[in-house]
Amino acid sequence: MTDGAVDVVLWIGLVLAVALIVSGLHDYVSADAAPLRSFGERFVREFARPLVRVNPSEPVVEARLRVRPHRAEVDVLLAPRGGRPYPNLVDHRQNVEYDVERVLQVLKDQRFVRGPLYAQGRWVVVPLQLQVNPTRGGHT
Amino acid sequence: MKILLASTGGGGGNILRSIKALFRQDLAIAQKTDARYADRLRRALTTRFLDTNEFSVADVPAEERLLIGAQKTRRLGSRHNPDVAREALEESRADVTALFRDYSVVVLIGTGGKGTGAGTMFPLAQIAREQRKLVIPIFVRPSFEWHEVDKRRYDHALQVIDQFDGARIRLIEILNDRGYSPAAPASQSVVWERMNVPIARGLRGLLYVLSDLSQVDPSDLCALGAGPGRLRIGFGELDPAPGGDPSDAQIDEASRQCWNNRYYSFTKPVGTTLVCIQGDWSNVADGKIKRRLGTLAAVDAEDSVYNPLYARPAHAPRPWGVTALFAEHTGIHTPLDVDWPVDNRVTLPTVQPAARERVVAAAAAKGDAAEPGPLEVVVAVEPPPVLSSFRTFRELCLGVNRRDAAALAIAGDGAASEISLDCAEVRKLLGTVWFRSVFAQLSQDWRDRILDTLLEASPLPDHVVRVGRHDVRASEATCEELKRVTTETVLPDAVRADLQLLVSVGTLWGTDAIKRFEFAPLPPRESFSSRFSLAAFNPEQ
Repeated sequence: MTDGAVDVVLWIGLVLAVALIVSGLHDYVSADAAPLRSFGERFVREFARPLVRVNPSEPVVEARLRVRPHRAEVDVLLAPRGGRPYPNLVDHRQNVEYDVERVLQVLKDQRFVRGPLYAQGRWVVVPLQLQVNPTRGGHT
Repeated sequence: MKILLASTGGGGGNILRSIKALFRQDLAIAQKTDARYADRLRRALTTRFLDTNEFSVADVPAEERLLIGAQKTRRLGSRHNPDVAREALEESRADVTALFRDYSVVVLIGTGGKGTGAGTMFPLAQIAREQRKLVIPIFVRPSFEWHEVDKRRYDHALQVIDQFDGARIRLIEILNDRGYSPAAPASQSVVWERMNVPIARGLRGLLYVLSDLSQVDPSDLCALGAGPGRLRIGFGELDPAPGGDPSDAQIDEASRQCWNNRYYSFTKPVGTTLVCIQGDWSNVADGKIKRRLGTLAAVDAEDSVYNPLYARPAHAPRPWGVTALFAEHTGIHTPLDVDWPVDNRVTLPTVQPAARERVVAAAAAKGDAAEPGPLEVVVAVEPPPVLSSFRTFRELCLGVNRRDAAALAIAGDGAASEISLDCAEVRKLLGTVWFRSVFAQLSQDWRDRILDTLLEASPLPDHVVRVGRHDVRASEATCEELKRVTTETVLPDAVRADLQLLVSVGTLWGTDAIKRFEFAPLPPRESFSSRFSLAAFNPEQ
């Protein structure tokens, strides 16, 4: 086998190894992100459920999820939609705090604890962290 | 029929004040044109302000107040606590039960978010239901987004609504959120007033109809109120030139106004609907209004389940227009069991005006010398001839409907009447709800004449209709089957008119009368097309 051929084989091997590592890492991250994302989505659904809808087919609040699997955190970002005032922390802080507690009680998933609410631009950020589960050691 | 319009708590009281003010204006107008009618309306409607706080109802006449839970709350209110209000109502349950006893329809008005309204609306509706009343709760869901209440109290209001849904009691739910607009900021009082007016206008039209049981078939009302879901009231004003019909544009606008009321929570397709048309115009205009509303209902859902019931108060004062009570279609439900009163007016004796005059005649004048003294003789003075005052059968029916003594006299006789009957006119009358009570007043002669007139319309097209899984010809269907088809199926206007004629005849003259009609078979192609369209629209399939 010539040197050139060896180089080609080595390169192909390297590329395959990198692809395998990336894929494995992605699977690892995705597996950890799934419960965070699922909880975030349930949170948004319950938060929006009692609000008055102008149009039944349109969402009643704007929502984003910021998932950080390596830290077992999900931030739920909520903002008013369609010219409505809720949620915001300027004149609805008490209502939002009450509402976040209400949603957590309804969802009944005590593995999640929330951090203090804060505003980021027009978004209200609800930081949520998945507590360490002893039965799933190694995922700290 | 007697109607109780009762508010509970401060918010409900404010709405009732608006309604009462509007109703008083209407009565003043009616008083000028028809004092008897105004008086009847006044007697049909009672308003009561229920509250836990004596000071909230200080401006209300004493006889219109009902203070609940005086011991529990010390007359100072429920301290914004729905539980306290509930206990207060328990304390006064006997008073409330006694209040409801005399009424057939109880309209309850309350707002959520604070104490008395949120705590008592549902128990009050239950008390009314237990007494087999037709209850129409109007409950306001407050806005927390616009700072009327905080979110916690808003959620209390949602719990009240869940209670209504759980108990399968239909309600009118008003969403205060919809009254605010970021584009046009307004104060709370302005928004509330803006929202109260359509409620008051809508209720007004409804009250005219409900106050006169002859205008509506009670069983229709039982079907309208059955099952869970929401109701929605709409009113569209029509102000045509004197003596004329409203223009098409006016009808379009009024129908749209009546249909669109964004303040209500109403998410499902429109089902059974009571449409009340008030105004002095022709049947043609009525037909356009009905068609326009029907179009709006059909647009809402592909397989429309819109089932309109029409009523027409005879004397409604201005503002005229169309009022509708829409019910969400939430399935087919067993009609409510309501304890309707016997309408005593139906059996009222037809007292003639100035019918009696006392005449004293001396016995000597009669040439009876044996009589010892003067004899009192009561002589009936005949009323003036009135036959010519009703030119058409419809005018006669309207007279009967408003208990006009002359009309009742003619209706009770009929054999000698010269009023001619027109088939088209009779068919239109049969389509109205109020004619059913008029029919009860007609003599057998009249009934025979009317049926003979209708039979002249024979032969009717022998429409093919789908009953369950079978195609049945109208000539072979039973009255019950025809009734089901007309209420549960969307039909072309012409087919519906023919079937409804048969249903009306079956209902009023008995099922044998249907068999007296002649039917003309439809040509094969038309027959197929007719059957096909009915099957396609049948919501049961």
